[in-house]
Amino acid sequence: MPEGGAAGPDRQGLLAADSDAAELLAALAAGDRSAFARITRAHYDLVYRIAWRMLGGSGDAEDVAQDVFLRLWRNAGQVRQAGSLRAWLARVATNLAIDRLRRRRPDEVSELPELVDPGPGPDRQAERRAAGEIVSAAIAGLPERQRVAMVLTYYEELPNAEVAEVLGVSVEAVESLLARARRKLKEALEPDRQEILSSLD
Amino acid sequence: MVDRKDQQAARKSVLMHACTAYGADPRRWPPAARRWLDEAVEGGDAELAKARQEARELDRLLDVAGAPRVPAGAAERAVAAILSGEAQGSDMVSVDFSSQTARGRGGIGIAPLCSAAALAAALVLGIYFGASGLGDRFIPSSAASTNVANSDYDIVNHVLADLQEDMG
Repeated sequence: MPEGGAAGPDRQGLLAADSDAAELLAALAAGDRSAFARITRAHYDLVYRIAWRMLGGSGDAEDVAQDVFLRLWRNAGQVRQAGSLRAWLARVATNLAIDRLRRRRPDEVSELPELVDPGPGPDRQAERRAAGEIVSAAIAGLPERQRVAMVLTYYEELPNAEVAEVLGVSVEAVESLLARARRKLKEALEPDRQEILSSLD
Repeated sequence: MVDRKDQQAARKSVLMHACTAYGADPRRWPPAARRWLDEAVEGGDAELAKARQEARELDRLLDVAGAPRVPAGAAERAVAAILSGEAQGSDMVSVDFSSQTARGRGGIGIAPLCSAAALAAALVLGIYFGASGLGDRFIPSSAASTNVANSDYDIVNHVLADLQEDMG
């Protein structure tokens, strides 16, 4: 199991990709299109999910994800120097999502994508979806660095050393951000706590 | 030789910290904390049990956010758009997450420089208005400084956001 982290849903695929990442990145830097396609397919879901969560659950996630891989294609040499491919992708995804949020007009509303595992019936689905939106909004309300730390550590279960690399801080600083984020989220969700928990029943 | 009581206290501190930062699921914890958890659970520490219970409750709420369904074929569309040259990309403004850390380590960071620049501009304008007598035609000098500060609205708000995050 990776240092300081748990296994996520596509962790095995990611680990397999990382193990031959050096060869693939070398090929990519040489302009190998098939290497680029392989890397994109292996990491796309992770990048999409990061973008989605950073954007507060938004239909812009596909645009952001494509932009991430476009930068990978244009800057493959930079990635070889940056070390972990996954950390590089996560950093670019979070940067692009934050940039998009800062540029977003207050009246701009994005369509929410479908969630995985919708639940037993339409009413329960609606309740669960509404509860999910409350939680997503609370995460979107966190200060940027706390949001990045939560999305990457709690939801994507990246090792804390990689999260530290994305943020350019120490592991201790990541843990401090997480503790503050969790405290803020607990306060933010307290008013809706019963409603959210009842959607799970 | 390390006193056993001190060692237990230190381990408990690590476990409490892991709960606070990572939540109740030890799969997210650093390896050292995971190793000590069983011993602590067997010891029946009430404070740790309470911390884990509270963390577990928050985890239940956070898990409601769910995971998005990645649109079918999205990866292939991205590959096709990029390799065909159709994808344009955005003009991203680089976000420097480490700027506050530089300040904490004794570095200066960019936010205080922006704040200092805004204050310096206000001082220069204040001196100019005062010395030239132009300030007499307007509302008092404190408001002139406010007008200058308002012209740097974005910088000031970034500084305030940074301070708020530090205090948060």
